[in-house]
Amino acid sequence: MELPLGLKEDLHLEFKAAAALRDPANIAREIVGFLNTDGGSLWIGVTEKDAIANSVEAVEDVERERARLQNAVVDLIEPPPVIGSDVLIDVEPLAAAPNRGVLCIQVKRGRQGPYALRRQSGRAFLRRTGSRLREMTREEIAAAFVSVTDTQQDATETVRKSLTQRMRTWADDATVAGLRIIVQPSAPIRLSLKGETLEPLLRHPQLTGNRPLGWNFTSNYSQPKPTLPNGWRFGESGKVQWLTIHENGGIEFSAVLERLHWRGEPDELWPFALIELPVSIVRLARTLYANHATRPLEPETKILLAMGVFQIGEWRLAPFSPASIGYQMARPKKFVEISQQPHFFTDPPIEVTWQELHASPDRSAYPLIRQLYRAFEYDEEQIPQEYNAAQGQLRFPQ
Amino acid sequence: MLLAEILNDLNPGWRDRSARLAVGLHFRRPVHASLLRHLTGSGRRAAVLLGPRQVGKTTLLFQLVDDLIEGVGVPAANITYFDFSDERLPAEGLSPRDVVMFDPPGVQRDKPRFFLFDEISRGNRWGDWLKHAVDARRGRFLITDSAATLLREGGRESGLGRWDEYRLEALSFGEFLGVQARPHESGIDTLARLPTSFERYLTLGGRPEFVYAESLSEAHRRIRADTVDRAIVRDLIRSGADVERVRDLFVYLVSDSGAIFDAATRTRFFQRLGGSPADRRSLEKWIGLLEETMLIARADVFARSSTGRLAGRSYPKLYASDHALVVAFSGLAEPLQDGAVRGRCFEAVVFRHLRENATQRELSVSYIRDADGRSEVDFVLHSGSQIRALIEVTSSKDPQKKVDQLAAIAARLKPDHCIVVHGGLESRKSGDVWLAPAESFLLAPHDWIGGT
Repeated sequence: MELPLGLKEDLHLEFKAAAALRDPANIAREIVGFLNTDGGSLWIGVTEKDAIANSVEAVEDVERERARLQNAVVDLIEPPPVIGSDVLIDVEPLAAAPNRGVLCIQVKRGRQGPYALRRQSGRAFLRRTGSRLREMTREEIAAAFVSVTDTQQDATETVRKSLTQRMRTWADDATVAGLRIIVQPSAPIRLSLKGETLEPLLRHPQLTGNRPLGWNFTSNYSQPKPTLPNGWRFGESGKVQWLTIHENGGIEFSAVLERLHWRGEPDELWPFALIELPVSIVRLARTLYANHATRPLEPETKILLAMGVFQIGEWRLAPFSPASIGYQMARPKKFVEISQQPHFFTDPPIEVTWQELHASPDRSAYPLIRQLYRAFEYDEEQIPQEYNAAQGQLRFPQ
Repeated sequence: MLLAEILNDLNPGWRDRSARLAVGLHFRRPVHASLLRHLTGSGRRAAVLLGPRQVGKTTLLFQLVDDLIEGVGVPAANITYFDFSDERLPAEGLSPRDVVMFDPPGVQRDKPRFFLFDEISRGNRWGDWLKHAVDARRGRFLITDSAATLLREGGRESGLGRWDEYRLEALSFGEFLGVQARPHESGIDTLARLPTSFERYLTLGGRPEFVYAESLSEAHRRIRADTVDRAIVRDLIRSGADVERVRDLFVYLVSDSGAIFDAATRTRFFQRLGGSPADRRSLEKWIGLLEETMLIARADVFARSSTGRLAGRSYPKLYASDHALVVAFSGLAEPLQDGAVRGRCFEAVVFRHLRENATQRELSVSYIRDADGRSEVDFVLHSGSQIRALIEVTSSKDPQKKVDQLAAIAARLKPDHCIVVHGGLESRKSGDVWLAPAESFLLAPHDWIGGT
């Protein structure tokens, strides 16, 4: 962890000298402020001048102080935040004297707000304004008591409707053909996107858990380029495949229909392309959200996944793995003959939590594939065995 | 099993006129057209197709059978395909004469008969037979085999004037894409549609059976097994060579593909436990065998005059003929992530494409190295002393250093073309030197160095 020397206090950053530990309530106040506003970091053992951190004044017996502070946080704040999740207290020991060091308290925006500091005279609801604390107004307290769950559900519903609408619009647009995959978090997140950090991720699929030579978003012939609004484009729109990553966490992948063909007759969809491309995008999303979000995502944050394959009416998909006899013996029908539709798209989109997606992007993407195979009137057993539903893993022979 | 039963089995078109051998194999390699012209032309010479194992010789024969029936209109009964390595044949082998003497039902005697014989060296006394068959105008013949055995056992002398040689190497990059192309799709479009094609080609090489491989490690295992167990151990053992040491030599050469090889100083490397060092003449003989088997390829040093070649250090550079051998024998889990392996792979694959271009244009491919060893050019394409192109190869994405080096040498040698083939995306001219991205160069070498 890098000490914040030279940084200025702001909405998300506060410094306290070691002496502040004499009054834990003083520190709890700051934590309440972060919990009720937008989270942030509180450094103890860092002195400031004119709100700028200018020196380190190490805390003695720092581990003991951390334990004491954890107890104080639970005792003094209502409802008590979850230590290790809502509030994380880290120790940065000094190299020369490991029992001395600096405490860094990282606070997320609370999920059970509003939070209050318990005092003998009552409860103080506080929030931050810039680098200062103030008492919350009656209206703010009332609004904060509105169920957070309701707010999340509303946001999820909004994103769900938006994705569904986009899929329908594409289906209505005769010029749209090919694969479209969207990953969109329902809560506002912010990705820190820079060309130099994105380039290796987009160039080397291994870095996102994908096969180096598999069916994925990688291309040797593209450079990541900034695109509006606030995002990056990899690949040229309308060409074989292109990928857009937005700062708000939205990821859109598109590929022309021909990209989904490899072997067999010219109108045959290649199963591995169909199943690996979506998985590769969800794996990419996992890497981006885990490593490049400016703040960690809440475990329960909903993430919506949508997939469409447009104008596939005249295309065929054989069941089972291409390595199996069943695939080779199959005589598949055209999609339009089965579904009477020229398009396939997920309606409604698939919904997973960040916790689920983080634990297993493959399992999270599986419902997309299952829906597609169902649209071709195939059972789950007819999905290529490389996608192991029980283990929730897509794995190809090495 | 009776010969008639095997013949009927190998030639389904005799029973069913609609039966085809090369079902689903739409892509035709350039040599296919040459062979079809040869077979249907007015000459009586046989065609001999030489190529290492697994490069697609049998597939080519199947396609020719189909095209003779469909495109040329030859009655199926007048075409006989036979594989002399068929495991149902007796151990003592079979004479090609027996196959030719067999008359399929419905054969039309007033029309020419076509005989396409695979693995001919397994046939008894095939060289003498072919000589007599050609002289007696018994039909049109196309025979194939791996090069070494064929050349040794058949004897080139008896073939002189009686047959023409065609060579088939592993797929070029353009052919690799062609196999995967959709109808009427150009190579550049296939490359765009399958963006990992170039890396797959580097990894898997040009053996057609691996174009669609899903498991890279399994493909490499098979490449190693096929090369060592079959091409070296089984085939070369008939040449009387010490196959164990030939195998060691081969692995050494492939691991160090593109290095200058001095047989005199390398003899002790091939000393087996308790044995004596290999002498220089044996090493050179084994290298000759590996070249004839088309497992390795040689680039000699370029000299403006024949005496210059003798005067200088004229050791050859030896390359793996198929770059996948470099990758498969590297012993690394992710070989192309290793800069040295990737560099050797790049050089080998560029050399493979230059050889083809040079053969078409009757040019030679050599390398340039000053006597002091300081300035070197990977490849020079030349006709005698006239230099057509200087080609430097690097897997790096930043080839500027190579460009500067090559520009300095080019100022002295004045070639028609001067190119750095590199691993990046830049395609531009820097002074007299062109920067060619490797995929672009391999897809159409003739666009960069001339030829068709």
